[in-house]
Amino acid sequence: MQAQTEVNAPTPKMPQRKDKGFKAFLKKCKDQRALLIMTIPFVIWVFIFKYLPVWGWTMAFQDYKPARTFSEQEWVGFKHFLFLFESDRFLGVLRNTLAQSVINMVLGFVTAIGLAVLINELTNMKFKRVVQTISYLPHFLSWVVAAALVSSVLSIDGIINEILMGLNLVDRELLFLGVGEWFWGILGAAETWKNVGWNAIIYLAAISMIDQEQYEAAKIDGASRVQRIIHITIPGMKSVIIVLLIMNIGYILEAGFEAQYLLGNGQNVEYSENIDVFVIKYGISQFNFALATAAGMFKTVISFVFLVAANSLSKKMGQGGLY
Amino acid sequence: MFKFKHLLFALMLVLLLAVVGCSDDSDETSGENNEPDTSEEGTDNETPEEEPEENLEPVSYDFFDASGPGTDINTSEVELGKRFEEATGVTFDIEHIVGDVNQKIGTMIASGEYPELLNAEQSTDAVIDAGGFVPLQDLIKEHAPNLYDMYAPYWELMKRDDGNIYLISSGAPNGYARPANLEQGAWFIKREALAELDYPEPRTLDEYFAVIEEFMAANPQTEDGADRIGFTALTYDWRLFAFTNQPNHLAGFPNDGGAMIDMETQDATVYANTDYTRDWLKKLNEVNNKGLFDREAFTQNYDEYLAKITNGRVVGFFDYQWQIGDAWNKLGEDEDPYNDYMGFPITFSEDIKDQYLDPVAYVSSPGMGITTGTPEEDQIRIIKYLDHIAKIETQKEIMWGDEGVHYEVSDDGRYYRTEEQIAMLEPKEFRDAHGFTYFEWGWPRMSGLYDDGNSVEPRRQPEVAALSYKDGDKEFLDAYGITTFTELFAEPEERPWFPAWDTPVETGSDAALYDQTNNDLMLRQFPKIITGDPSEFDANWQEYLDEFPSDLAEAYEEVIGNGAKSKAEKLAEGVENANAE
Repeated sequence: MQAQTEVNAPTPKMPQRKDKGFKAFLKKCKDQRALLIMTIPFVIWVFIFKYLPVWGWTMAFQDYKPARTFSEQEWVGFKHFLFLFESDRFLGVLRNTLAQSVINMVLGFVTAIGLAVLINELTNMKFKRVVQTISYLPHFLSWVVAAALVSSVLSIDGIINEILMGLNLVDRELLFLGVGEWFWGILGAAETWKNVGWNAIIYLAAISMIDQEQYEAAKIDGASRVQRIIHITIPGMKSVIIVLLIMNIGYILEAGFEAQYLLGNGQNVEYSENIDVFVIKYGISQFNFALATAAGMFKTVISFVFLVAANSLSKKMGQGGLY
Repeated sequence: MFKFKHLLFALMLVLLLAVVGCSDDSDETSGENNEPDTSEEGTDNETPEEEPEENLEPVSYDFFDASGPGTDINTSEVELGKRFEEATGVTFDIEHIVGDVNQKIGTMIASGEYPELLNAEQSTDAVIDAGGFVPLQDLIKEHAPNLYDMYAPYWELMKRDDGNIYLISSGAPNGYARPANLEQGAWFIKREALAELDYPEPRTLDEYFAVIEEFMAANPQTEDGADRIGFTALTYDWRLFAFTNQPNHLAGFPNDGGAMIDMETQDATVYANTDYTRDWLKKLNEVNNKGLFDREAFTQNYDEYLAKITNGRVVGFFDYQWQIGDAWNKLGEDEDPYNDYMGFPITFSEDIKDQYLDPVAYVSSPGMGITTGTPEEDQIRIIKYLDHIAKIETQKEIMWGDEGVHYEVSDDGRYYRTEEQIAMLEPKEFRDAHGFTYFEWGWPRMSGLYDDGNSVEPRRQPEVAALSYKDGDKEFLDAYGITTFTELFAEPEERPWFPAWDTPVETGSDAALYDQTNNDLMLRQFPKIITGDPSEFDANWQEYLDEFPSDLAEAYEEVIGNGAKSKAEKLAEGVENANAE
């Protein structure tokens, strides 16, 4: 992160030179033409895939029918938004989305940082690599496979019930996926199992940037292992953690879709159904693309608000933001 | 500097390639359906000859079949397809659906790129709304006399509200052939239980669960020590209807969907909020309290459900036979006749006449349609291909095979199969290679009886069915004093509107919303009602009723009721017209 601030450092000077106006701008462009040309493909990509689709938001205000031209669509104002907010279930759906997301985020951060610190403390290189590989492998499973694994592990004759019964901890097998209240926890655990290793990679990279001399100095000063972790490793990762946190807060309404859809069922629907599942059921499967778009817009707006709020909060706390 | 120039050049090249690549792509997609190719070929050949009748120039079209997964082939790869190619010059690249139908068809609609021939399954209405199909009525009348003859009685029913025909569905009924084996819904019990309890014949819901209870009490575990499951249910995703349809069947109605159709007035009444559903839930609640109801019934998915039935732990369940086909076949393949299931027509009480066997039914949607963007000459080639399939000889070739090879004809004109022929036709590989599996459903087809009195489907021909029973089957047939397994079931009453669920429901309308809303509600509340304490049953049921979307239900009843009425009317008209012709 230190490096990044250095790159950013010259920018404040820009306004001072800018009094020469447009010419200076051109000159700067010329100086940096290699860089500019290299960015062109990405600007085009961003424009096509991120800005053009925003035009599709018009659908949210229409009774959109496919294969009709834009002028033939019927405009209905906020009808679809009203349907969303007036539906009794939408509040529940929103609650599920936020709860799942927050649980995933907190669990995801704590476990990934924890795993990274622990892996970093390992001294046996071979063992370290094996642990790291095993921990990030589940990330590459598709959710369809992962959900099948989760549901068979949690089924009545699954391994967890067998262990619980064997240890006489319960009198009767537990129907894990049949209890709505447990769903958030199961989802959080499943997400963690699947992604903890993968998420830890970036923290490991951050740890490797920390100057080894600091550790040596601390050692000489008599700091214990735990003290070194608390006073050197974690502060060293702080900037990475904050950037990731801000970015993740932007995705606060993206609690995922596959896991909830695949693990959800009638008995846990009140806790499993999130915005994306709701959109599939009432938007896309009903060919009600307008409703799906309205829900998507709602998500984007909320995400944007969260992102800006988190960023300015972080700036206020003197941690530097994304922008 | 030199290096920089190189870099710049490379970048420009990449950019250029990207731009060219993109534009190439879009060109390609617009021509993906071979349209330019085929139309060029078509015109090249037709103009000099001036006789489209003789046009046998080989041409291949795309057929996208969303009705179910399967192996993607070109029809020329199978025997029947080869023969049809010789007769018409046309072959089809058949592509089956993988994954979600709505998504796939939705993409087609959004892009406007369709295969020439399309079966859009549950998304059919959306394709029609988007103007994706071409009207077929003139094409059929002009170029497809055989096809017209086959569908003439249903001509009016095939028309949509705008008066156009867009779809040819499979199965134009011609008389009634009673199935010999269960093809639709029934309450199944494991034969092992029936044999042990000296072949009981349950008629009512109480008797049915009494049989299961008695067997479970004596045999709580299977031979390999797994816990038996008294009664399981399929509640996964859209297949939930196999569960929620149960009270309808128990009340003596066939599967008309979410509503019961009155025999006299043809009015539709939703039953999900009636005492039928309440009584059924009450029974299940009681069964659950006795520990006979599968605890995982509401958490298992379709595969887990099938696996459970296959591995022999389940004593009883209700389902439609075609949904458990895979499990059924697997159980039938082994030598053990006792792990198979036998179906019973269960009703609430003995005085209710069961209606589990489907009456003669014409279903107008889904079906196959020719899509917009297909040039006219290609439309003609396709409709002629379908016309060739609609010829009676071709129909018999598809359903029965070749006389002397796949079936025999007795002196009095009855078709039958020898035991060797039945054995030869049993392996799926054989039926695949010959093409039976690809052509026997989905294409224009009659159902019921040929005019000579033979059954369209060999499996419904009593001569064939009788020979197909193994010794294990015969033990049960004898014990119940019947000759076919459907003999326990009552004859279906005539219901010209059947099935009412094929009434087109406008996407996004209140009626469509009812379906989704109520399904979600049942999925949420029924588990609570069934697995709850019996003392809370009334409160739970009331909670469900309070949430029941009555307004939407009324809209649904109106749409389905009107659909049933107009279907019955049009059918009467159509039959008259066909007779007059």
